[in-house]
Amino acid sequence: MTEFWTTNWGDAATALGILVSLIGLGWAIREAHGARSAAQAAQIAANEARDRMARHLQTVDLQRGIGLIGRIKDLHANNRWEAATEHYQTLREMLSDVIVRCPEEKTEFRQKLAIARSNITAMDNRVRERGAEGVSEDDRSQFGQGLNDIQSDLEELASDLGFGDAPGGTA
Amino acid sequence: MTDLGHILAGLVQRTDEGSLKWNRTVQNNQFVTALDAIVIAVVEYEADWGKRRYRLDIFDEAGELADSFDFRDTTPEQVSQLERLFVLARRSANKVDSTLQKIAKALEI
Repeated sequence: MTEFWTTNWGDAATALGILVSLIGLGWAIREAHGARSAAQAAQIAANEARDRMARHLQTVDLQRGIGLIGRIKDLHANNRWEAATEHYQTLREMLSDVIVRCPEEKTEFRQKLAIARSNITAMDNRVRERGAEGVSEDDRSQFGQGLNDIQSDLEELASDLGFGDAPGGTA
Repeated sequence: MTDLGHILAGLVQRTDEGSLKWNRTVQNNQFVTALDAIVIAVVEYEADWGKRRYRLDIFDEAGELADSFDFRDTTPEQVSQLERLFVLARRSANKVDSTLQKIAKALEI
């Protein structure tokens, strides 16, 4: 059961997020009825839906990233360095997607993600330069600490984004 | 084109003031900071005959290495700025100021 959730929670989070987004859309449409014109109402509803969906997608990407870090840690623990390097790339792309979707005014958020991404790049370079045989115990310890730091940053960011912000707020 | 010297001077100044925070990475002797989604890394490495050298790496918003500057691309003055930046970045990443304050407090000085 635990394993099922470990591997499928991303899909569950997606389904839940879409449900929450639809509820949010319904709420926004209801609120928009008070607007002076149909055009205004549509615009308000569309903006709300877009903001919620963007926030939801960011949260899902962050949660997937957190899950992926867990998988990378397992690969490190089992000395499967080559497999880990493939996951570094996926994780970097995930973080890049979140950065691109992130509003420009969220500077601190974007900085944290960019630094997390550069840390993954440093890890990747280190493994590629040294090869699986060249990864020392010190490296392993540093990688573990680095991944824990990134994981905790992503958890904090995902928690900040949340699902329950007041309508009208930005991600 | 923006002059590298000005960028280095700006990085040194803002780091010295404490308004630009640096972070450690898993790579020894590499420290990074971000300006929005652009990441700047300062690296110390050992060149021929054990001489310590410094390099500035700039990663664009997509996370790709945009450019790298080391002693071959820089003037002697810029080399000094780069070395100074590395020292300040290391202090910032290792939170040396906070540690020194704790030591001073413990010593009651």
